[in-house]
Amino acid sequence: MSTVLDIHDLRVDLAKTGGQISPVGPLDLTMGAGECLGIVGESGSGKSLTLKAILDLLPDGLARHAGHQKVREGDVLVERDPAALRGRKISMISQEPGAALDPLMRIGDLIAEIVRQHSGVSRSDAQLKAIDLLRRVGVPDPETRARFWPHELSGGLKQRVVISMALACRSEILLCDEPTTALDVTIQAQIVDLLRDLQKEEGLGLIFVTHDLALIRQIADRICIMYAGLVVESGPSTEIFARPRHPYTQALLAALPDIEQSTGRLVPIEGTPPNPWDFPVGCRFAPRCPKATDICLTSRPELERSASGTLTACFHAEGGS
Amino acid sequence: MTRANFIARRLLQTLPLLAAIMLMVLMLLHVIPGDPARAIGGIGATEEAVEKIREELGLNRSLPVQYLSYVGNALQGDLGNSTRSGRTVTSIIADRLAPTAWLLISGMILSIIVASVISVISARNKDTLIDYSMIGLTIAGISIPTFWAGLMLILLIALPTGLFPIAGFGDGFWGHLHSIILPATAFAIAISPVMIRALRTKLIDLYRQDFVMMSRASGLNEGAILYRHLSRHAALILITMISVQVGPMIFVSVVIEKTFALPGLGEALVNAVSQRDFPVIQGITLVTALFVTFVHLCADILISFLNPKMVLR
Amino acid sequence: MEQVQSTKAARTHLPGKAKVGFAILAVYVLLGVFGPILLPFDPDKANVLQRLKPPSSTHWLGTDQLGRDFLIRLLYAIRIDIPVAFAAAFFPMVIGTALGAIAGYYGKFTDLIVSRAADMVQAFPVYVFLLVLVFALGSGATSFIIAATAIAWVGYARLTRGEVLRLKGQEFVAAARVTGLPEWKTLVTHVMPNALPQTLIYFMSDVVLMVLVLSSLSFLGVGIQPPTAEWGRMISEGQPFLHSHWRLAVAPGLMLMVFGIALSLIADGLDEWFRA
Repeated sequence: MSTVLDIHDLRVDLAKTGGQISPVGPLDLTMGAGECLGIVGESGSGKSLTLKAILDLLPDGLARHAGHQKVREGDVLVERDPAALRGRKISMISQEPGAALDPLMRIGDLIAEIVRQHSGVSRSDAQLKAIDLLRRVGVPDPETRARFWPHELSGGLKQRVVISMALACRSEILLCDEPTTALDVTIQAQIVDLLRDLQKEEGLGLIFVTHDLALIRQIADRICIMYAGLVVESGPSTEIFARPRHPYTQALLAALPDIEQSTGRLVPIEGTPPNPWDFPVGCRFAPRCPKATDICLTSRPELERSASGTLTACFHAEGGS
Repeated sequence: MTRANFIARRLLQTLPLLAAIMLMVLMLLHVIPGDPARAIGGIGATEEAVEKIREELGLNRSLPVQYLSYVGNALQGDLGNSTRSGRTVTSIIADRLAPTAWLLISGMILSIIVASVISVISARNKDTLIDYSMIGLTIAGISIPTFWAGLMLILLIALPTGLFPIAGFGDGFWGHLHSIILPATAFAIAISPVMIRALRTKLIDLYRQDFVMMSRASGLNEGAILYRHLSRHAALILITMISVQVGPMIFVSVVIEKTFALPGLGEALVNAVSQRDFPVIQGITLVTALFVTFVHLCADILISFLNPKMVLR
Repeated sequence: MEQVQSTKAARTHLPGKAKVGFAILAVYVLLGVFGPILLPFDPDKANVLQRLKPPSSTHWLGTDQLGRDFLIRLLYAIRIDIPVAFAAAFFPMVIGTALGAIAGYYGKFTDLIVSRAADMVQAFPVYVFLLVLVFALGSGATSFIIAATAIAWVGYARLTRGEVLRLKGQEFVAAARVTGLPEWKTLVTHVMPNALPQTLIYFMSDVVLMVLVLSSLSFLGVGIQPPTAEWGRMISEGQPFLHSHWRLAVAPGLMLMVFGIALSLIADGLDEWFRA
């Protein structure tokens, strides 16, 4: 599979500290054509910021730095400015679909605007294309719905509209920032199905950020586990679930409620993740890690490749659980 | 509720309000402690003069009768006569309408332009020197007395350059335009700071919204975002602000008219107050109240077109 | 969206701008209290022989068009403009906040009455109304304060009502009520302290507004009457001399402006302080 996205040394800094405090990074991201890359982590792990950093859409006060960020154009990987990628190679959907839709515009106009931005067709043609896109994402009765205002739609429909806006960009990669977290479980499943469909039929690559391990299992080909701003483990989805090697990944999987096992207690992970001011020297998970030793407290482990193809950043990585 | 419903309800609400306004305008006279007729006549008035005033203004009749006759007359265009000059109040108002209208309209347009430009620059360059200096100007602007601003304009611009008239309304269209420039500027100095503050805050808030991020993520450039999305939100705020600011705007125009000797309704009102010319006071107050109500109504209707989530106040 | 926290220091210190504002206000108060004591001139007595004299060692800012020492009049005006403006904002604040709190907290009937009354007052061109009320009540400080109170309470009422409604739904209020605390006590001891910061900020802006309105009315001739020294009045008296003795019109305006800026700085500073 050919690489379509190659980011090296991505960092998000607090602008005021001039690079002293980095809530995210440095980390590397690569993605193959049409694959789904999952980024998993607790709240505060920096996964959302990572996604936003790819397109340089960070909130005020945060700045992005990268060694390089390349995308595939034709046969080669080319360095591209994040702003230039927006809406062209890469598009994005976010967590609160309601917030992503301008409440003062009808949804058909919102979609049509993006269509026209990218293809300069006439207004009426753009409206028709918008209706098409609504149909594509499974919105029933799209002709009528296109005249609706955002607040007249349910959460699930709003998210479908947002997805159709992202599709209107005709991009190759879709960044998904916890798109199902704010939705009901049944709607979640529908949206995930829709995204999987699009992945298959349009060859759309997905970078899917979530805190929900069970969810990511259904959709991701490869997974990155993030903790305190760094990738601690990454690899093929099946490998990560079958043979987690990093203590944090193991703890996450152990914490998953298993509907088949009826033994009482849930197994939480002791402690809380550090905030960027208090990132420990050395391994950031060490304070909570059952396997931590002296070396873990003083030096930061690098990602190393195992035989099965997983990258793990741990001095005490092991196979199996 | 549908928009048509909303507009209909809003219009219906206006009717009792108009009736109440007329009542209050009538009541103004009776708010004065003591005998209204004597108050108009002044301290030195003779008993006969006071009695004459009482007759003329119908103050010896009962309140409901006074009210009904006032409303009845008003609807026919009769607002009484000036106790000073004897002219009909309606003709006085008609004469003086133009300068006030010119001032209000040009002042508002200038304020909107200034407020929009400065708030966009300020919001886009948040927390930079540009932003801070704009905010500083805004704070200064809020603290400047309007009449003083007008005088400063005269002192610093009109007198040295001789390019602008310092009093009067001029003749003909171009004369009017020429003489309204400085007054309109003073108006904008008075009114735009509040608008700038509100707009800037709103714009900063809007720029943080997810839908702006989404638009950027979809490849829309900054200009398109400003023009197609934010302009609607900004327009909503501006309309609301104008609606709220209508009262202060009228006061500001009264002051400016006095400062620049513009022969408008404001100047007439001030003169009437010092001359205790009650029918004129009553008439101008009524017209102003009607204007304010009209502006509120229009604003609400306009907002119902822009904002799909219509809420009845 | 992940938020980046502010540092703790920003949260507990009064912002610099508020300090500057208070300092300026203090200067005004000192000048107003002590200035007239230190300078031996009578602000109201006309002395036609001395009219329109330029600044000199006896009259530091010269004399005005009636021969009175100009500086002393500027300082005496502090004693008029500032207290009256504060009073004209204070009484509406007390009444409006109380009404708004009751309307917001107890709701239904009281809310209906208060809100309708507020709507009616707001439907009028309030400043014209002010003008007319002054006509009715006579000119001078007392009638101004009465007129201002009759009109300005609405702003405070709406603000407080909004804040109280917002706070009513929060958990600490439910917690207080669940413990059996009587309603009025909950309102006074729990809800109001949280609603007051916004009121305080509004108050500061309102004082600026009041001083501007007062000086405008005086400028128009229907506010503070001569010979009492008042900045607006002084500006109107200085207008005919704009081309020759411009300080007569400019200086009082500067006094007003700096005062307004000081209070705005305090209001903005308080706003930042309460937000953090």
